[in-house]
Amino acid sequence: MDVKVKIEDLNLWYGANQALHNINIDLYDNKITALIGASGCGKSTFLRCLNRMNDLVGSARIEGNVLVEGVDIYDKSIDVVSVRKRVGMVFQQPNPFPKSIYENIAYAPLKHGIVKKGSDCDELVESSLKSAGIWDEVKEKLQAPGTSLSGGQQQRLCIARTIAVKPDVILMDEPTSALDPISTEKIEALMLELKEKYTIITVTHNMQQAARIADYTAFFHLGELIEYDETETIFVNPKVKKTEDYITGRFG
Amino acid sequence: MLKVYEEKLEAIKADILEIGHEVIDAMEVCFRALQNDHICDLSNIELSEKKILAKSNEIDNKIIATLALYAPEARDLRHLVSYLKITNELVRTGANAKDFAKKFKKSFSDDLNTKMILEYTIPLLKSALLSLKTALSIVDEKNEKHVEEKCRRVIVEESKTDDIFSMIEKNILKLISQDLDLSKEYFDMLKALRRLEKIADRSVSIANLLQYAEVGGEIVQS
Repeated sequence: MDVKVKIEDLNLWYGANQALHNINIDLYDNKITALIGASGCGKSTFLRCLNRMNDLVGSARIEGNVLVEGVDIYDKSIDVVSVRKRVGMVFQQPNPFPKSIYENIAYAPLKHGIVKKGSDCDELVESSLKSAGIWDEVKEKLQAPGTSLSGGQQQRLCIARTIAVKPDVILMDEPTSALDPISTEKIEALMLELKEKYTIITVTHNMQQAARIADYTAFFHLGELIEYDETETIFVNPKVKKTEDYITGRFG
Repeated sequence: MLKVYEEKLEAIKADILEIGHEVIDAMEVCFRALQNDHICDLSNIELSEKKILAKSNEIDNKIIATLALYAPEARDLRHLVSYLKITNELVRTGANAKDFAKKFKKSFSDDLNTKMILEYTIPLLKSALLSLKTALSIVDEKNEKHVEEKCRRVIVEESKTDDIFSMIEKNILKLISQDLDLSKEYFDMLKALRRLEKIADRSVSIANLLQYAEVGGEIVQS
């Protein structure tokens, strides 16, 4: 198995408060890794380190290395925009731009110069929407506002938007927490399809979701990585008692 | 449920059927041996209890992982719980089939009334075999009516094995009373035949579990 993202001795502080403690973890290519843990345990903070979203937090200070395909994304020579292009992100609340469905997908690829306006762009929009499993639902109304779609459709639109810039890694921060069970199942099925092409790292509070879809699961507690292993091991034979207590609901 | 779950369920079903068919194949070898009066062919059965047990453990672990990862509910949950119990039934069935072949071959001798023994053993084995085949055919059955009908057929075959065994037991006891010197051989033969009756019992249990999985209600172990 190839390591896509390697994290070495990662520490993060928000002001004087240390939020992540010496995290070391290898995240594998074409796998889904779920990050689980109670609120405030550092899993979303960790996720945001993987595409330098914490750079936007003034008080955040990071030490350690985050290597994507061997390249440290925190190296001074690295352009942060290119990092976020390679490591896309889908958020908890679907957040389509206040633009048409077509423009939601086309905006970033045009901006990054991935395609030019015209048939290339049309093809990219179509293939991205197809990859996100929403093409059939929107192909007749590409000029309609993205916000006119249902919550589940908006989230798949956001996933299509992420795919359109051809990332290597997709980060998902509780991508289904705002969705109903049917939309959740569609997103989960989509994630299982997408992992064939992308490396997916997802934060979830829904342990059953982690169990259902993730190949690997990492359990965080108070900013520390307590256990990281194949999902089946975590949910059937966890090695650390704290992990077992958490997944069996004995503490939260 | 997600496609991956469905795939795991299908794999578990396929593994269960694989064990079941190994037992059925062994019983068919026994049936042909008796029918052709080639008792020595009973040693031809290729049934490894160790292998079946290992496979059964493998399936059980797959089921536990599937329960843990997918938290199935309702019909999905019933299926997995039933499969978990069925693997045990199949291990016992395999052991019974192997035991039958071994004990029957060892006890069968010209000193005994072989004509009478074969006359009853062949239909007994046939019914036990049919009960197991019918029970396993329910694994792929989706129609509730068909499931219930097949369950009834398994119960009928199991009753037949009970009746045939009672008859042969009665006859053997009579023969023992006529020649006490052969009592050990006859009792050993009865022990061998009892294995076939047990196979039919296990088949009823498998059928009931599969009916519970498909139709619902409460688990009733026979």
